[in-house]
Amino acid sequence: MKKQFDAKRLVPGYGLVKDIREHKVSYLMMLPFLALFTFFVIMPVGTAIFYSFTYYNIIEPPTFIGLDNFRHLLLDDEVFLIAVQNTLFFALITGPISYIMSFMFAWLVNELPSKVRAVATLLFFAPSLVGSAVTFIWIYIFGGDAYSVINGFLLRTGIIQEPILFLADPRLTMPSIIVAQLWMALGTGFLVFIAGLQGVDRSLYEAGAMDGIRNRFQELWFITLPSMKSQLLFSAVLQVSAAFAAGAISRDLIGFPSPLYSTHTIILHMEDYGRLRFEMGYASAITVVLFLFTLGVNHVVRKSLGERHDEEGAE
Amino acid sequence: MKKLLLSALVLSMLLSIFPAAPLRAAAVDAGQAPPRAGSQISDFDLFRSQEGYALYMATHDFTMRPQVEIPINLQAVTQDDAAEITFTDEALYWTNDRGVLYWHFTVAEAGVYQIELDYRSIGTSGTPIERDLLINGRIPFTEARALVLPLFWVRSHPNIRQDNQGNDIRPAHREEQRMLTARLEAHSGFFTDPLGIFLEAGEHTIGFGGVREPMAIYGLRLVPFKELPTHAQVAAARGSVPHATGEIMIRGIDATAISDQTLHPHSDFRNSYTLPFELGARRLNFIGGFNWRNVGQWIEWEFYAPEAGLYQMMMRTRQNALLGIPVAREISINGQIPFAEAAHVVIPYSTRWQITTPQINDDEPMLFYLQQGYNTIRMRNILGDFGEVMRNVQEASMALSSLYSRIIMVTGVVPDPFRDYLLTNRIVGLVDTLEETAALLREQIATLEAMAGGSVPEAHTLNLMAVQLDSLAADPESIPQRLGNFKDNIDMVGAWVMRVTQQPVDINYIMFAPAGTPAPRANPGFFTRMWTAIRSFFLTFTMDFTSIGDVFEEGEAISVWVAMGNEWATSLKTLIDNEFTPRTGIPVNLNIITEADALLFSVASGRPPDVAIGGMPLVDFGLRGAMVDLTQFPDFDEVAKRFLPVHFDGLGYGSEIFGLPDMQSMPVMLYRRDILDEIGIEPPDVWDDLHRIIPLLQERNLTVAMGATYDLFLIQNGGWFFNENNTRVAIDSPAGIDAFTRFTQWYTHYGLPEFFDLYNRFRTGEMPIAITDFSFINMLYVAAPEIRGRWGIQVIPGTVREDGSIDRTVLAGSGGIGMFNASERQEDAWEFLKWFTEADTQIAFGRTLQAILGDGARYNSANLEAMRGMGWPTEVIHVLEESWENAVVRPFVPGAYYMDRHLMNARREVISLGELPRQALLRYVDRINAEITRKRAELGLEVYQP
Repeated sequence: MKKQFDAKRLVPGYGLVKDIREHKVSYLMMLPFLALFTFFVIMPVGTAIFYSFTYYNIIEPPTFIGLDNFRHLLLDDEVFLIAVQNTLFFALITGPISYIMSFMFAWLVNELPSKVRAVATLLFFAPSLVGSAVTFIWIYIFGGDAYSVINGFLLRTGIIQEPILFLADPRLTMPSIIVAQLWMALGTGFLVFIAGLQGVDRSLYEAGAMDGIRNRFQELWFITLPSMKSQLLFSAVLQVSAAFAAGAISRDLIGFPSPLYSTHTIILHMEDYGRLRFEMGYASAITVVLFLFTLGVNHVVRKSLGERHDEEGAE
Repeated sequence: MKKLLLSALVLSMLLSIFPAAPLRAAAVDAGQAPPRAGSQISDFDLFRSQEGYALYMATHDFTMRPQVEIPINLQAVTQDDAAEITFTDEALYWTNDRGVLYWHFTVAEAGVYQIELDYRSIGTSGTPIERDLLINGRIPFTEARALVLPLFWVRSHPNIRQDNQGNDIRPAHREEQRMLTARLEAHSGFFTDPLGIFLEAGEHTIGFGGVREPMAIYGLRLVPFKELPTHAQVAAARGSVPHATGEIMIRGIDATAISDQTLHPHSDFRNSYTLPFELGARRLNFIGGFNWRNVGQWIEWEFYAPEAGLYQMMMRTRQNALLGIPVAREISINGQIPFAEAAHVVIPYSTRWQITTPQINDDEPMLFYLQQGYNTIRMRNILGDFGEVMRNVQEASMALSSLYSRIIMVTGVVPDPFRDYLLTNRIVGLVDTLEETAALLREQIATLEAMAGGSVPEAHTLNLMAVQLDSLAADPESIPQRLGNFKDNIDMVGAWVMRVTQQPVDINYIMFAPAGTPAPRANPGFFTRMWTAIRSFFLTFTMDFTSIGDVFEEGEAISVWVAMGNEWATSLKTLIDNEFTPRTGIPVNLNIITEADALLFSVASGRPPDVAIGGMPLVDFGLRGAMVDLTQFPDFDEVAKRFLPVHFDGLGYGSEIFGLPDMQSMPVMLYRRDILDEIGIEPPDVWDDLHRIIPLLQERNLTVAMGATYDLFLIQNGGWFFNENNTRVAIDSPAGIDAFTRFTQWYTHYGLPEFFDLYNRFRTGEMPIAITDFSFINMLYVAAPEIRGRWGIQVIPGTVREDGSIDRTVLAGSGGIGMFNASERQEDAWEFLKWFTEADTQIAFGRTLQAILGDGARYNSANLEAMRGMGWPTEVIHVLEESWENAVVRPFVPGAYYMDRHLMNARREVISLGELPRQALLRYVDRINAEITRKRAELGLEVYQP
């Protein structure tokens, strides 16, 4: 796709306009996406950045206060540090496990005959579809009532005497939501993996067999994984973004605020200020920090998974 | 091998947890909460067979039925002090619902008599009259407790009116207090005949104990059993009567009288054969629905018959609530059940609308004689033949409950799975009881199937129980391990009876036609249905579903946003269109908001509504300049008198007040009278009493449902939440720390549960004492009818002061309705606020809600006068009035949400992490104060200076 050198491009004001005119069909086709992207990504991010430098209580017009929000956030706000800690902890546990689980299940499902595969895919994917709609099931399972599933069982078998407060004891809330989160782990990433596995060129396996691949793991390592780099990357980016944006599950399961902030994440911290305390400026500052954070981690992930492959891919 | 066995055991127990466990979400749905299985306590069986009417019938000679009537002389009444009565020429007025009245009478011929009562409702609340029946000074059987005497309701306007969008407005009903005659019958509906009382020859007394509502008594008689002639006998006696030639059509929605104001018309917007039908508009087109589910409820239609003669009857009905179970209605024409068969007309189960023709022997239509001119037809909800099945199932469930309690006396509630308890030796007739009960249940399933003429999916629960019983009987050693599951199944059978006795039916029309007229088609064909569906899909793009009732141009009306359910909003809008707009000339647009943030965003965008009801942080908005300070209106003080003055503490800040209270909350203490009586304790009056009672309850595996008591301890202890000028919290005062310590001791010392399902545990009696909001009793009335009359309500316990007096301060609260600064029609909005909160409006609103949604939606208005006139039971009002005198409300303080949050954190540190209460609390006080200071500074208020 390398461009031929074109002397006219050196003429000022000529290049871009000419380019657009020349490729107007391509630009036209990009337009819907660009419009949506601008409206739903660039503008909100821009707005958030703007508000993060202001005091804005939603009701009265914002006033510019410079870096005050950031100073308070990074230097004075101890709860924010707890939130960062929790978010990282949550992300480090659920992120990799979900990622690996998604891949393993996709690999397994891919081995099934195609009709069974469709059903199995749906079954595995279903939890992330229903997601928070079935939180009450988890409340019922983990509930602190003596008749909730786990406590009921443990009490009946005589293992414990008093119900364990899975959703209230600050030492147990984080593990509880991690379990619930993992149940929903097989999400979009899982689907992407299945698609990726389907897309691997069959002839490579034959060639591999000729070249001395001896077992399925070698096949996986030397052929499957390298041919799916773009899917691996895409899925990883999704996973990272999702892990950092976690919070809803804590609010649904543990309640808001969580006891001793034990499952307080950055997103929840943002909502705390934005909705409860009417400090939208400060909440915006939190989102800006989270945004930069996610961007940074995604960058690291892309680097480590080898971005050059991606550029050659269609994405 | 042992390992394998053990793991199999664990697995079977794991599995045993699941089947009997309906999900929690279902229980949230207030109106129809299914009782959850899993209660442990069987000491307090919900139904006690030894006192029931079935046993009474079995132990008395019910074949003796003397054909004489014994009138009672009402004038010769004996009363106790609590009952208030006066006489008029024709009736005895019992003007309260307390105390006891009774009369002496003489029986000449021994035998069974029924009781007939002429009565009239004289109350204003619109709730049915309830009385206990007393024979010779005592309640003869459980069914005689809290007998319900239905009322007579008629439509306020005969025609159904429409709003300016062309939607039907649900008609209102009013009670017509006419004299009614009723034979006393069991509320359960398990018995086909009215209740019979066996009386030996000689002197007796008959009397009533007051339960709910005043009443006037016009006549009281002991009467013989009635035998209805059969259809064939009636036909023979009638001789030759001409058959009618024309058809008469009666629309279900044109019911002229109902027993219960909840029996209002509904709309079916899917089936185009349900006439009147119109796409894109709400047409009320059938009557009945889920509201017509209880035994004894009736609907009556008056209609004109152009010619006298014999007619066959055809109804377009729908009965899809109970899978596979046919339900029954009793039909009377012109006040009489014409023949025995009409007392039990079966409407089979069907997922779709159907034409039901009442028949004899499945082939011959019943013929009804109608006179020329006006006739009435009444359909009453009965269980009929079904009642016996229900009774047998209930009996089975009671037998099993008692067996269960005998088993746990040996094994305990949590048996050792590895021990052989030799149950067959220790419990006499164990295996026999199991087998007999299984056989009894199977018989009932067979009867049900015979009645339905096919399989009955709804009977699955019974089958499950029977299978388990057989397997327990085959292997009695496994009983201890399967005990929990056994109990769950017993509870499920009990719950099944409660659920299946609720038998709703929808009626679209009733048609009287000459005998032999073929049934009209009940449902549209495939293509018609498809076409209707397609058109209604496209209508979803053009119809506005959030606006309710009359809709006006934006500029000329005030807009009101409500965070309410659809039924609530519709009721409110109807009231506005009928009352407010005609009176003041101010049109109102009403919109439902479902997102809590909608108001916030509307304020942010500068286009808020004029008025919002519920769902917003009023004072937060107000302090930031979004709400109107209502004290600026000259008549504010006048309006404020409608409420408890303290309610305004939570609705404003400083001298500004941003809202009027709409609904109120108030903690009360509920207790199970029957259980406390049985243990022999009085309901606690002060906290110290409760401390003494808890161990007594715990000995019996019972416990207490403790609501938020920290606040109560704090304020009854002379403490307060904040310092004088609300610049910092005062919970670190000695009183505050003491209150917190005592509060956490409920959990650390007394081991009370922190999380529980109050409704289920109170119902089963496991939590016979509960501190909770008074509105919880609505749920008890609706969803726990079996403990009706067995629970009491009381002011929350007080604290004994040093001088011996009792501090009964309670913490009340209220929601608010306010108007926005951005409104351009503030005067009109203020008119609306005043109108909405006035007593008449609140009562009318509450009544409408109750009419549409039943007792569960009884409204807890903040308007004190409205509260008294709204039909809350008198005992509740007494408790509320006493509480109002001592009520305080937590003032709004910016940043105080941090106090709630950190009180919760401190509580967790103490209960979960074992921290000392004082240290846990003090750790957070500084943070709370810092937040309050920060918020006050942000809002430009004075901050704390140490």
